[in-house]
Amino acid sequence: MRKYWYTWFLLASLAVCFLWTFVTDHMGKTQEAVTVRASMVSVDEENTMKKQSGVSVRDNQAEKTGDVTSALAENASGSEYPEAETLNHPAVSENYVFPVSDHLAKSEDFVVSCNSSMKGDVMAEKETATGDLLPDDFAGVLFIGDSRTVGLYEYGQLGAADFFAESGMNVFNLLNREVTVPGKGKKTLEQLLAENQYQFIHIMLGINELGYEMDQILRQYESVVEKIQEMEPDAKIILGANLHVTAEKAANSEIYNNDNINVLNGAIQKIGEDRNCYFIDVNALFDDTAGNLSAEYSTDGFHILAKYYAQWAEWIREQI
Amino acid sequence: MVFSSIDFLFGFLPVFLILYLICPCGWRNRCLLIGSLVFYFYGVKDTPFYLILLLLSIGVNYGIGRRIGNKKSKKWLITGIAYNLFWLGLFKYAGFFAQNWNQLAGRIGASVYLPVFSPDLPIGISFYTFQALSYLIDVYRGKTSCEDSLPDFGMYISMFPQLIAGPIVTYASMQRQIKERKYLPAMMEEGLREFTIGLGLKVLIANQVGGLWKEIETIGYESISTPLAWLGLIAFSLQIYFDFYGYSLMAVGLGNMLGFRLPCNFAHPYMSVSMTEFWRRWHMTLGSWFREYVYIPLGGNRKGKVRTWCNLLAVWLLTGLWHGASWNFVLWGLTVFLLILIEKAGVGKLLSRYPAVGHGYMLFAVPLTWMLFAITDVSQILVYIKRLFPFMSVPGEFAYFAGDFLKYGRLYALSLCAGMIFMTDMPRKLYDKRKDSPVTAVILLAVFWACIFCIKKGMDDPFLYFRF
Repeated sequence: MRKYWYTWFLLASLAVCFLWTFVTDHMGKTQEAVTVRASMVSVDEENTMKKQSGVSVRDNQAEKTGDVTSALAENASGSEYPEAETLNHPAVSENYVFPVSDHLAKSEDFVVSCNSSMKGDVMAEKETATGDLLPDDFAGVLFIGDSRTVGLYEYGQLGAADFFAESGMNVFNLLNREVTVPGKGKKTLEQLLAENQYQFIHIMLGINELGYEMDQILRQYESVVEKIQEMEPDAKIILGANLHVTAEKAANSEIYNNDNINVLNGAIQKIGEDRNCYFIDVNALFDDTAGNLSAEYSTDGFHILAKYYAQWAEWIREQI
Repeated sequence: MVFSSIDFLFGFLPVFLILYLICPCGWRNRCLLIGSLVFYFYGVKDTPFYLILLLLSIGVNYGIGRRIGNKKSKKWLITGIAYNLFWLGLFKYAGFFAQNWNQLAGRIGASVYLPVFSPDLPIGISFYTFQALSYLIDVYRGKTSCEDSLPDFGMYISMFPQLIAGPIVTYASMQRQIKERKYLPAMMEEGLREFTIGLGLKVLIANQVGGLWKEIETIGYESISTPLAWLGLIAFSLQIYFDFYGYSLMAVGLGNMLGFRLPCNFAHPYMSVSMTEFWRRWHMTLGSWFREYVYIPLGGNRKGKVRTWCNLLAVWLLTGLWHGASWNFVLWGLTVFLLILIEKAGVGKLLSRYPAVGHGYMLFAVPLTWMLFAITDVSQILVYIKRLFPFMSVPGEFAYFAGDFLKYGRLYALSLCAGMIFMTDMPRKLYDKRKDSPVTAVILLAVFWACIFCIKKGMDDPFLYFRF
């Protein structure tokens, strides 16, 4: 018996594990809510593509799911700058629920009413964006985003811009995360915006959330944009469309493919119009003829090779 | 099916083990054969023809083996070798050959173009083909008698512990074990331990440290700093070692659980002081296969110096090509050959006499040779060399992020250190001393569950030797 310690330990632990999964599965079926742990799967870690689309459906608050979804879906592209009263989706002001269960309480602070950030004068500027509004050295510009934005920081030679970006960043954890901002130390987004004045804020998020339900992503996205506009009302927001993936990656994944990305980008564009933000789509620069990220620009299918970030930066400079 | 997957660990393996253990002794070989075929089918279910290929290989080699055995006929030997090499050549090298032919034809203006046939490689074909060849040649040489039982032979070719990625086991060394093996419960314990250790090396070290090389590929070789370039090669060297070593240990462990003693594939190769010694400690079953069936038949070192060099060159070019049908592998084989030649010319004695010099030399030789292995595109190899040795490039030719070495160094520090520690023989010695203690068992248990956790989290699992 002494000689077989490991066999017995292993069998015992396997039995325990088996029993535990059996019990929890059984219990889970009798409850309505299934909490998904915040196992934020990010594209940057090349995770498995099977992701649960459940989101922590906390108790009670009514969510206007139906209206929001349909509104966003229908108006996904290019309507004119809507007047306040034609906005046909209600404020994303219900107690928004998102997966990081502990932070749910905080989310109620971010309730912002829909109309608070209409900036009539920005509309006019937006129509005539000529490419010389952004300063050449990107001073006074903040970039918020995920690993692609990190790439812009490391290889884009963006001069004096600030970066609040980290691999794995997404709209669900953006407001709670403490990130090392180059040159300024570890801060949350709120702290960073409180301590600094920015003229432009470039936001590019979305790819890391693709495993979740689209309407939940978009509601959270809009809520985040509202919050940022509230914290930094004088800044003009630039929403960046998400980079496409290569054809090979798209063909092999149900989640990370360009159809989903295009839906997301379209909805982001709509949010941009509703909130008077700029919307720029870098895919024009890197796409091949079929609408996928061109294979020559990438080895892993998700990120462009580092040497192309400088081109991307230059392109951003020209857009605004 | 990869050994380090949930499907295998909690699906196939427990079910198979239970069936195997309740099988009466006489039926165990058949049970293993069927189990292995199921295992293989799961891996090739998108291309079921590959399973038929395996079955065909078993059948044909069995038949030819019997014919050679009866009459020692050279004709049948040649037929057998041709048959095996045909399929290997077709799936692995035809496309490569056609591509190069077309390129050449294009250059000289000829218009004879070959169709490029490059399908997915049948899993394990390089391994089971070599096993079959070793069987035929051994029967011809009289080293072993031919196998009369088809299921037993099939089991030898296809047994799942070594079907996909070795070790390459000669029939002679397995014969007795096939016919009779004493099954002791102690072997189950030992098997589980070895398996867990292998799993840990693969999942906790190789998969983790492998992330660094992937990041460098994503960034692009032109945009990395020199320190990062070196760090990347070290990371790749650790990854490929622990990947394959871990997998080989898992194979040995599985063999133990089934009552077999499979040969060792690695003997702490990174502790070698010369390239010659390295290749006697790395992928040992492949090295001995080439020695036994290519080097010695060509004459070995018994036909004079020049002939020895030619034989060595042949062996190394073939070893390179065995790893992949691509010019970088040929370059790799050539480089290793040159190093071994230089060592034979006298440098080797110096290296063994002064181990410090030897270790220093290997510290550079190993990552640099693996670089040729890791980068398939030869022009990219040139780029990488320029990054490694910045004095070779024009200043300003490459732009990189100055903080990249610190960033990735910090991210991967833990797994790199773990790799450095486990590549020495210290952990194994410590383990051997404390094998019987319950603390060791608890540690192994922790390793096992840590691996499961990592696998579930979906850590990337690029098994480099898998495409063979």
